[in-house]
Amino acid sequence: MSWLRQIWFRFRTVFQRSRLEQEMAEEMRFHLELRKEREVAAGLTAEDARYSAHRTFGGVEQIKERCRDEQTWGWLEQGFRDARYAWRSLRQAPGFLAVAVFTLALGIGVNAVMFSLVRDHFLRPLLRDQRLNLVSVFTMPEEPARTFRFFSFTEFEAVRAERQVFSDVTATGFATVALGSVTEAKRSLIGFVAENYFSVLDVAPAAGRFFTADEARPNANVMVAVASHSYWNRIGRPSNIVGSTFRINGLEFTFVGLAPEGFGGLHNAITPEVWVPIGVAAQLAGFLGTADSRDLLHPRSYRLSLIGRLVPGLSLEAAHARLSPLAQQLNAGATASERRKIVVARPSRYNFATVQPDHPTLTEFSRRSATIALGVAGAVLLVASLNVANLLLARGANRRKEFAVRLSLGASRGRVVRQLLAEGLMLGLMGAAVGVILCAWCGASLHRWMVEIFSAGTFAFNPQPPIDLSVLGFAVATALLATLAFSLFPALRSTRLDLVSDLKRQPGSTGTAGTWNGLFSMGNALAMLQIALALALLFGAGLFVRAARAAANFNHGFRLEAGVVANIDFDFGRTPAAEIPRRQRAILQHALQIPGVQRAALASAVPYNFERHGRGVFAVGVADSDAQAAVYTAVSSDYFRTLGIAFLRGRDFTAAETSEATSHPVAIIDETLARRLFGDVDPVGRHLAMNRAEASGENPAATIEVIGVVRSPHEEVFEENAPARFYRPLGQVTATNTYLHVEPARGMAQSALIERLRRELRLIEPDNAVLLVRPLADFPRRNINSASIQMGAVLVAACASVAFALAVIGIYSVKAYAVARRTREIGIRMALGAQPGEVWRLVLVQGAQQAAIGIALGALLAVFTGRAAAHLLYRVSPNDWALLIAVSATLAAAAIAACLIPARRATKVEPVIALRCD
Amino acid sequence: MDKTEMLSGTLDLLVLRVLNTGPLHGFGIAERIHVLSREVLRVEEGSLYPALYRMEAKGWLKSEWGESERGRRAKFYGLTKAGRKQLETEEAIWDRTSVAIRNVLKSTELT
Repeated sequence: MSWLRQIWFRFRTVFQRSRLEQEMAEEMRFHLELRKEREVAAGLTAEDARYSAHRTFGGVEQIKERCRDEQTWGWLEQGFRDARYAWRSLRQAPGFLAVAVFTLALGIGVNAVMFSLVRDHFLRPLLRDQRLNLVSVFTMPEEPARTFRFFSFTEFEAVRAERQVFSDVTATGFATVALGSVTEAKRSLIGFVAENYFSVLDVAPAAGRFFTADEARPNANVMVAVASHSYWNRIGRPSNIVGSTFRINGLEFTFVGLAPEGFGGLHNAITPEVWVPIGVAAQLAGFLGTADSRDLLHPRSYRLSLIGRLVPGLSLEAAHARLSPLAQQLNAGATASERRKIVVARPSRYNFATVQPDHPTLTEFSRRSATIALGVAGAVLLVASLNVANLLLARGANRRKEFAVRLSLGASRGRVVRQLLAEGLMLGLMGAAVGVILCAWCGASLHRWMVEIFSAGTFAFNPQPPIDLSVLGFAVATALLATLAFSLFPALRSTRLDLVSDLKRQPGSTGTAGTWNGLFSMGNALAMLQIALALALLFGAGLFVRAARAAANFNHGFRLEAGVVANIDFDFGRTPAAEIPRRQRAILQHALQIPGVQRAALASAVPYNFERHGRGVFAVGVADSDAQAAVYTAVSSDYFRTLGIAFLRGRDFTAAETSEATSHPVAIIDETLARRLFGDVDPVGRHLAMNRAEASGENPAATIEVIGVVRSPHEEVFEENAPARFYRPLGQVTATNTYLHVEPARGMAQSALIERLRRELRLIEPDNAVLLVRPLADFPRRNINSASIQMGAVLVAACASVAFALAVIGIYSVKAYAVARRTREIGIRMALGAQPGEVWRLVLVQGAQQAAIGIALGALLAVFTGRAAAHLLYRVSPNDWALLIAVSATLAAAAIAACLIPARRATKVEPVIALRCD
Repeated sequence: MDKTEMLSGTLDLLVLRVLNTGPLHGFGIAERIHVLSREVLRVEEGSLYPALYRMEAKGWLKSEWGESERGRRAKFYGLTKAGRKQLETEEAIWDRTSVAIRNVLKSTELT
């Protein structure tokens, strides 16, 4: 039982503090009295006896303090006491408390937001669980530099049977489909997966079940699906999702399960909308890869990418050593050029198609983005911490007398410092609490915005919970770090006292405060550092904003303003291939008859939609012509006029060319392809070929005549050079994906036209879902790359504004405080005849000096920041001297302005009052 | 008055020893040690009270408020069972140590 008593003994000090204190005091008093009586008995006078007793006893309060230390679990009881005292002391200064907590909350909140962004997009974009020992499995030609391909189902089965290397292997593929109901559907990315996909990735369903082996057998055609959590969110989180039906390409599917929140397969940030078993793959067009047939059992149907779990403890090198028998087996009967090898690699962030390591520019880009994001947030936190440190210094200077009293009463300096740190910690934690609330709020807005951006694309955005344990932990860690940064130094400084002079001090007097007015005093140094940091941040923000403006003013090479786009994809429906051209012409004819439509055209792709079909193109009759990669679009006549793409030479496609398959084959190319293929020669009248044999001119009938050259349209903000393009008339080539471009007549409202188009298309194409009807301008606006530039600018600008505001407040408070403490000195100066002008100068000159030093420092910092951010800046040079000068001037003006109010107050000092004020 | 510095670590032993005969208040403990040591040892209050609080926290002592000899309220310290055991241990250690020290001192005299 003795340990129980011990625990109680120590705990009691927390709950019975006042009683124990009283008892301790009584015990000491009793001792002193007995001692005094003893001295009196020895013949001393009462007064001498008391003196002697006290002298032999020593410092009562010091002894008490040591007793208290013995009595308790020091940390527990003192922690409570420190917290209570800190709270009481902070509560007495509500203004200070509010400013400090809000300042810290801004700093910590900004950090938490940035952290959660970095966490989702750069730290954890992949499911990388060491325990799972996951690898991506690839098949590559033995002779390098050959085309990559996916696996066939037969190969998948062979790899899966390799138990020396893999404890399990699963297969997945992607398909773009029309997902939704009969009438409302969206082009979406879905995954088709083997039955063990979810178990290999170690996830359990949030509701329902995953797939069975029967459902995953090739051509099983069991129409079941698992919804991703974000798809479920988007359709309004129905509680009865399991068992509900929806349509993929018009076919009815039933949901059997719901994937857990945050799961998107190997990638965390994006996710297929739904998963279906590979047993229905034959119903779906492929998204990537080559397939002679959609039927998985066809030997050349390469549609699957494989993810394996290595047997426990097996390294990548060891796995490779064991893989050659498997390759031998798969190569049986292959010719030398067909021989392939099996390769495994850790899942890649960006490449799910090839075994090459992550593209260095992408890795570098994400590393730099993460660094910049956290660096910017860290700088804001630093500015905030400096502000609070300044506040605490000022507060500490005013509390010197309090500290002196406590020290003289027996508190050790360490004790007082700890007390001040407790106050700092309390501020930090309160700041973290408010900061997390700010973060949740900002995170929610950011999240809504990203969902909106992604809703235009085929992938679904896979939101991670904005606030989770890692974010909370990060916020608390930030708070602790900030607390150390802002409160340790002021605490040490404020408690370094000269007891005698400080005890005599009156609050607010100058006395021994020392270097408060020196140019490099602590407060001033902190203010200068703030100016420097704010300058660097503002400069960075300026660069990012300019980049965003450059991206927004990007010359697309086509008209965006009025156009409307509608999309139908015959690939998703059951229209016979031979019917498609006729149906497309009917759509175009119908659209042209809608009142308010000025022009209309069809195309097989729309800019900014990540749909690019590349082809290698040869020039006929040019010696040693190499294939030039070019983006290929099938269009109707009038396409270029509808989009406002300028003709440089030649003519548009004729109506005959757009409608008759037997017409003379023609093409229109853009200036880039013209230059690459034909140099300075006029390409109109020359011929293109789609392969080398035809390029030699052996078969003139197979070549395509160039009839026109257009200006290159840009469609990707990150691309330095627009890709080469060539266009074929829809009559001569077939395209299933059909975008109807419509230019409204003057006076026709875009929204009305969108509604009208939707209705009309449903009417004439009842069997094919209308995938979208949207303004053309929506495509670049909701393009993920353009959006990320805008988002970067908004985030950095927000951080910089916060830092700027905090820095100005910081300068103001240092100056205001200095003037308040100089009241007496200023009073004396004025009494001795100083003019207001000199007083102005007194305050302003120093302010200007500090601003100058801060700005010089900041300019250096800004140049470095600019260099570091250069890779992320879109078409903006980091050496923007005009911007640097403008930002410096803004800060200088703000710094001087922040000094004006205190300076004015200084000139209003009444000498008589000032002299009496002590 | 002769002030002999206490050997460190011996204060606990002495306090436990004088309390073995019955509860005493702080002043009484100091007095008793002073008297029993023939006025050689003098316990400083600055060490005594923290030691008492420490030993109570360790569970060797228990304290009670009671009446002093002159009818005043005083805090009396007494040994707990753990305290008695601790006293035995410390006495044994002290015996061993003092014999060892004496041996060392003797051997120095011989050389």
